[in-house]
Amino acid sequence: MSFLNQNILTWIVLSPFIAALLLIITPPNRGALIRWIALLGAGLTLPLSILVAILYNRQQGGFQFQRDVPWINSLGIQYHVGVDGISVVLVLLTAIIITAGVFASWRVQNRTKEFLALLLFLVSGVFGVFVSLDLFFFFLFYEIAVLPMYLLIGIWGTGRKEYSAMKLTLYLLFGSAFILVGILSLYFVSPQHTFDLLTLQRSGRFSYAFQRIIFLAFYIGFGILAGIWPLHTWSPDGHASAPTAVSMLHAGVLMKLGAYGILRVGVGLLPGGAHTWAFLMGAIATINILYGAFSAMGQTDFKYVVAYSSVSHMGVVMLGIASLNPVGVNGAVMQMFSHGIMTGLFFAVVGLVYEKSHTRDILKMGGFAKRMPGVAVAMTIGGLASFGLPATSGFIAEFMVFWGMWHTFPVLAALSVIGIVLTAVYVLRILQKIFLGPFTEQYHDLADAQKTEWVAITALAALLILVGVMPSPLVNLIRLGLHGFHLNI
Amino acid sequence: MTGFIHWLAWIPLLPLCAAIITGVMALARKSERAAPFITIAATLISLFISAAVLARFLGGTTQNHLEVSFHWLQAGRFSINLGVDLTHLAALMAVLVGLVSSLVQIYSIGYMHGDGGYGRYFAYLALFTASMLGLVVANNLFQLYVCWELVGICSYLLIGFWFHKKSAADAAKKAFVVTRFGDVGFMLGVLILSSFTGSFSYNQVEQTLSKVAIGAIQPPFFSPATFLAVAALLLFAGAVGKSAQFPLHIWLPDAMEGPTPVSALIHAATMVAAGVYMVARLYPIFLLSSFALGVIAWIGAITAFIAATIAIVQTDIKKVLAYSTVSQLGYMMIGLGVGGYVAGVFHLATHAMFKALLFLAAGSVIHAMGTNDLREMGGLHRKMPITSLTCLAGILALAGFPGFAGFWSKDEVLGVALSNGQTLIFVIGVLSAGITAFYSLRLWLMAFSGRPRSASAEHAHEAPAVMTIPLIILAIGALFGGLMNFPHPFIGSLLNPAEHEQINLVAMGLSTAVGLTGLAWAWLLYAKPEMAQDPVERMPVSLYRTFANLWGVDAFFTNGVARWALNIGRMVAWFDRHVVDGAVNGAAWMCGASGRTLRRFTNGQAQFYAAVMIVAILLAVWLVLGAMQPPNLTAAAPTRWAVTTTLGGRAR
Repeated sequence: MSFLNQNILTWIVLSPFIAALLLIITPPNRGALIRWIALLGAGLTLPLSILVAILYNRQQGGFQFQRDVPWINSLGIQYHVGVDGISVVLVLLTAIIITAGVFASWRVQNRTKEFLALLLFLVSGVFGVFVSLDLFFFFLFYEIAVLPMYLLIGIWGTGRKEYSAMKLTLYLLFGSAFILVGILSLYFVSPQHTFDLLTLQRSGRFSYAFQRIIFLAFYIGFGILAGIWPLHTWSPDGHASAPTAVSMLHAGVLMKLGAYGILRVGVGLLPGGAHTWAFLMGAIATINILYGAFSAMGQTDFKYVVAYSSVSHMGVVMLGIASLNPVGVNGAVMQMFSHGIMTGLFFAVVGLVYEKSHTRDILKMGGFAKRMPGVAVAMTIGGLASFGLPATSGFIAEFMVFWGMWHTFPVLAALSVIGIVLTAVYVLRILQKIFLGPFTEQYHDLADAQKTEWVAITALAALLILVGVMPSPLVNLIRLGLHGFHLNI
Repeated sequence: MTGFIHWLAWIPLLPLCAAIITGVMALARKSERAAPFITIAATLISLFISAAVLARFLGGTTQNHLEVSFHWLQAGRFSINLGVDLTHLAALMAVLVGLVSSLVQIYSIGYMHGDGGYGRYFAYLALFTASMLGLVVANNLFQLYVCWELVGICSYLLIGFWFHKKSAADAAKKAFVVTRFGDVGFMLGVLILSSFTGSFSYNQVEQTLSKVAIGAIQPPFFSPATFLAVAALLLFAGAVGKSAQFPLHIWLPDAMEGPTPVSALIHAATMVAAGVYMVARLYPIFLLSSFALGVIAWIGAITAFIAATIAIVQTDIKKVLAYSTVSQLGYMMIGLGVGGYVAGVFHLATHAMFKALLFLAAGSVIHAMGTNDLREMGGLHRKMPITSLTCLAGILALAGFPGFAGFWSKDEVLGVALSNGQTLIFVIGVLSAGITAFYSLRLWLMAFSGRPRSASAEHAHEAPAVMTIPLIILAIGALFGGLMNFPHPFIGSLLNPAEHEQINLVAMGLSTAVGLTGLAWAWLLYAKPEMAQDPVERMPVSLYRTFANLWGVDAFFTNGVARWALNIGRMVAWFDRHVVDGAVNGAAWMCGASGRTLRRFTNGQAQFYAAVMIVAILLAVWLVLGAMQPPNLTAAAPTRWAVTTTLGGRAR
């Protein structure tokens, strides 16, 4: 049992990584084998993360499944992994999305092997970030998660893919510079000269002035990946140009890395800084929500609508974090999970619609529900979760965020609530323009989702409802993770 | 009594199970013909449970409510219990919802026969019934909000049921978005109240607020009176959207795009009454702020009047009924606003029956004719006598004809308004009652009397029994619904034994006189065998145009608010692309440009490199020596120094 306890997280990180290595040595013409290796590598993480979620000891709380192996002692670097309630939820999300993503890319034809290998490589970085308790490895994994995106979009993307790939990568690297500065200053200022997150949290003792400045560095650095306004413009272009599985992964999971970084490193290690900048974060999050929703309303490209909806929804995540209220932060993590699933579903649907209609211009579509009823139902469920309809996961997440924010900055909470109308407007607009109304005859060979695609969209849609009806397992898990943070009571 | 406890949760859960089963069946396109039997059975059992509870309450038990709840979610101070709390009001409403829902579902077997989405239709109806019952029996604000939104999405799905019609899809979207405006207020109200009182439970919230009212607790930001008014009005904002009150009433007429039985159930009898029900259910909160009650009464009065005037000039049979619904909901709000709790709920109950009846009768006509246009009807009385007579019962109830259901309840609303000194609201109410009588009889006469005005009216015939039997049952309700409160005040003693209701003879006399005048006028204008032109078109043009243009409110929202919103969206999108992203691209361009400039230095020519080297050395020397300069030298000195040193001149 202790063997399992100590290594399960490492397996989760390594499983896609090993699959990626295997893919590299697989002959490129063995299409089926390649897909099955990828599915195995990605899919294995799912039962493992479910196991972690089940085995996580609720009585004990705190960080569990820890493994601490010294690596470079002289520099205070160690391979230290472990999960608390928050990371368990996010690891679970990542496993779900990558598995669905492999299903959704079942029919990628161009350089399948390289595509899947990079995807798996990337996702093992994502897992790494969520389980790392050492800032050196945290940063290392963070970069692993960000960099393959350049190739994935640049080679397999559509539209202005080179531009988007370049913009996304440079922008995120620009953010990484801030993060690196932040991490190094934590290292040098801390009395122990360590990268260990738990040690830093326990006995960092950073001065108030230091916290104030360094928190800002983390906020900007991670915030770029989280899509905070006005540093979000890489995301619509990047998401719109990326192939389906990459958009799913990027909007579904990678943006969460940013929010997670702000929460884990920023709020966790520099609570004084977080409290200083809470109002700024809240105000920017409010702008994100409203601005993202308005922008989504003004788009005609299906993928851009979804991409801007991510900007808006990440605003809800950031609003919850800015509330520094246990309920608000809990809601923020719920929203990370919910938005991850929802946007994964959205991009899967966009991919299906685009593949079959060869257009993303919503003004040219109409009445698709007639030919793709299953996809229409899935998209509707995703849409409902998006505008926070009760009985979907989006509702409870948003409600908790608003409730938490109400205790900290009621005015910002009140302004953000307007977002629920705007979201309804753009979601219903795309539903109506694409799926409802008279059928556009030129798309007569439109077909509903196929075998593997069904697995992806049904599972994601069902999860949205399941979590919406029964949120307490996740909420309770997240609550256990909030003890280490200095939140308002 | 305790034995009931275990059954309570099934009131909303049974229809929910039916919805899930039939929903899966509809998705799989399997045995859709069985769908109505599942949903109707579930609704009937649920109705039976609530009726049994209501019967116990009427039987005079000492218990004033039956409650069961369970813990759903906890995150620190954020703690939610879901549950069923059948108060007297909730039991009454649950019976009403169950009754109308089951009748509408039975009727729909005939009406929706042969429709492509047969199974889906009944799944939606069952889901709606479950959500509506969940709303009615809720014991806390959270569940109220949840079910509030769920009935909204059911309404969206059902209005857009024939989604391949663009008008239906548009109407569904409009209905949802417009009501969401109200829901913003509603959600803020829930946030304010739950965070202030630390609980979502109605009882807890009401208790804490009553302490605020007597000054025992100080609310944040506001003075106690302002706080109570703000909280109550925010909740009421939700009701304005859901119950189609001015100025958010514009979605309801469009909602008529849905199948007619849906209009009967959702957009006449139950869901649109949810706002009224919510105000009634949380009446203790509203009672704490007389300002809020005043606003409610006035909004109700404005709605009642404006909608009644618009109904006069409508030619679509469902639109007439839709505006009439808006107007009648206004009456219910008047009742609650002027302090007539029982009166408002009584009108809700009678209206649910006669308006469901009217819509189902209209559905029967539309089913036979294939059109909604009153101008193409006429002479249908002889073709479809059951529909005609039951419809007449509904019309007279709506018009407030003495003895019919609407007569008692409307007069009670107006009577309370007069007794409580709201004379102006009373006058508006009486005036609207006259208009109501006029347009109701106009509708009936145009549809059923005279000679057929089109071929389809010529060939119409009566609906099957599965449709006429619900009509007859509801017609009995429209005829005798008044018995609910007169002569014995069943509802009154059930809901509020303290509220004294005597028949206010002045109010009753006045409104009856005005109502009969309206009826007589309609009779004079419309009871003719032939009708070349609709007589209402002969009214003054400016007036006609105001009514026909819906007093400009709809245009204000669709051409004003909606267009602004979309334009703001486009502006933000443009701003994002060109300004925010422009700055990003600008920064990138600057990097590129500096790269391009600096690149020129790497051109591969040794001479150039040497020249650069020399210049660089010169600069370096100049800087180093410049730094060594004593501060009192003149500004030109460094140059001289640099020149002399490099040219190998005299050393210093």
